[in-house]
Amino acid sequence: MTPTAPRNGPPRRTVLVGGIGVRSAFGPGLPALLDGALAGRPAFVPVGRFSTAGHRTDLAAVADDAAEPPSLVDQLVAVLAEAGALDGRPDGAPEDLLLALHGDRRAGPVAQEIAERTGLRPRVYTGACVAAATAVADATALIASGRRERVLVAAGYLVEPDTFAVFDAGRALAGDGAVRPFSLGRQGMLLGDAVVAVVLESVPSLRRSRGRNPLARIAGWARTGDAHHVCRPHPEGVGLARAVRIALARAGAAPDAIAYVNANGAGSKLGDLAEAAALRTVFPTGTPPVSSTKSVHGHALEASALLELAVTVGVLQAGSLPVNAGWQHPDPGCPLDLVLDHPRSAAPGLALTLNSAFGGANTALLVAAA
Amino acid sequence: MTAPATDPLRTTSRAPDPPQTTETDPLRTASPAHHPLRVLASAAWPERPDDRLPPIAGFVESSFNPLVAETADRCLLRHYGPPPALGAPRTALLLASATGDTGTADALALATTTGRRVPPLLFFQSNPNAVLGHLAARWQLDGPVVALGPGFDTEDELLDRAGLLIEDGDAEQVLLITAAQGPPDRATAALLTP
Repeated sequence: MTPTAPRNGPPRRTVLVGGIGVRSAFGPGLPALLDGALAGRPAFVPVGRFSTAGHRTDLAAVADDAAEPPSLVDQLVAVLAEAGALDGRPDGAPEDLLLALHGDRRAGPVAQEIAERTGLRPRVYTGACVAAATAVADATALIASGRRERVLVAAGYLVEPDTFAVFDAGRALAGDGAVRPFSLGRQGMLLGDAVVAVVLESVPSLRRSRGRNPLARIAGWARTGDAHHVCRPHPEGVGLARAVRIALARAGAAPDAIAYVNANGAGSKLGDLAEAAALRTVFPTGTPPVSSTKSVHGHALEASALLELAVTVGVLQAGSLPVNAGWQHPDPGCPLDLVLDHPRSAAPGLALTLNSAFGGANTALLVAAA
Repeated sequence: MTAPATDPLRTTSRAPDPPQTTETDPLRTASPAHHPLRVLASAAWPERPDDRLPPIAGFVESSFNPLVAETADRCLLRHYGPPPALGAPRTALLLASATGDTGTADALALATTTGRRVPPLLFFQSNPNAVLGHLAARWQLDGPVVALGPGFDTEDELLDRAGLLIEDGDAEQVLLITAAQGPPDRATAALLTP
């Protein structure tokens, strides 16, 4: 195992969130998503866009239950426009778009059509549930190091039959129709739609845009591995805890600077235990308030981390912490300060959003108010 | 990624045995100005006409995961000997594949369209991170686990992403793997250091 300590890298420049566009099961826009998350109102409905016969559940957080699913490309173009990502560079050169998608044969045609319709240059990230957070970390690193003034990040997943079937086959879906992160009796995840775009940019880039105000600042970021198993997390959350520490080091902050954790919290037995262990390692005397908003908007796989980054930015703007919905009974393995029943007022500080994936991949993003 | 017209990693060794390293004789220097990288070891699939992919326990239906694992194993074996990679600095696993695991995707699509039972093992291999987790655990490499798809089409673009992970401080070296399911299946691996 690695004997070396993480480096902080070269001097950093401020990285701002200059714009966000969102489509979720709560409808278009960040306010709709945030309203649902703060209320702890699950968006799970019977799926109408394909047959779920024979599966353990028919529920997912889908934006509509029409027979025909919405077009992923149409939605990506819409959220890119809403985020302010299509206003072009001053020199007219094509901009990179770091785009998180499920890594099957559809990714190439989606990226190609996005390129044709927007003039952007998509570069696709396929790394499961950390794909979008890895893209954000890369984008932030490019700006912080001075190599880019602005980087666009987008992600899209719309619930479809193949992933629904394979997650059902893997017994990953909650048969009781609810996602219950960190709760005793949790049965697993439910899938959810998410199409999100985020503009990340330097201070000079935002100034040039005239009229736009920053929504938040990316204060820290990290990507780590567990080196433990094909798909199970390290039981002590070793890699995830290290990701939080690296993100804190980049932010020049101590753990007590974190005022809220938007947890990965997929509602899986092992995953939630490992994440709780990681958080207890970082916060040995007690965690800050924690909630997993997957309990209301579902798991959007490759797009999940960008949806949860959007929620986290919204939380900082609203000054209110979203509910960890679905919770029933305390799990002794998850001794966290969960936000239950009602939204809680946010204390000043950083917000941390965590994601973990198959392969032992972990990411941590620290977000500060602009 | 589709079978590259030019081998993105320009592997120079065609002989799988004996294990060899190139620490004192860098194969090449990567071109991106921000972070020139040296190749410590490299491997490819196939390396000889009679090459055969050994199966990996727990992975079924598709050659993608054995293709990635065998090519990466060859590369790491040449540098470290048998696993684990004792004393390795923090190493990222970076896999680039434009089309991904088409074998698993096709098996899954066939099952769902014909109403047949989906093999549970397909869940675990339904994204490319799984085989990277296999490699990370086997070789005890705990750097970032990153999978890329279309859009990283040139050698320089891949080396740039590898270099970014090092420059940014999350990794001290990178195992960069490219894989394209065929037929014929093709893959490359290179262990990169600043």
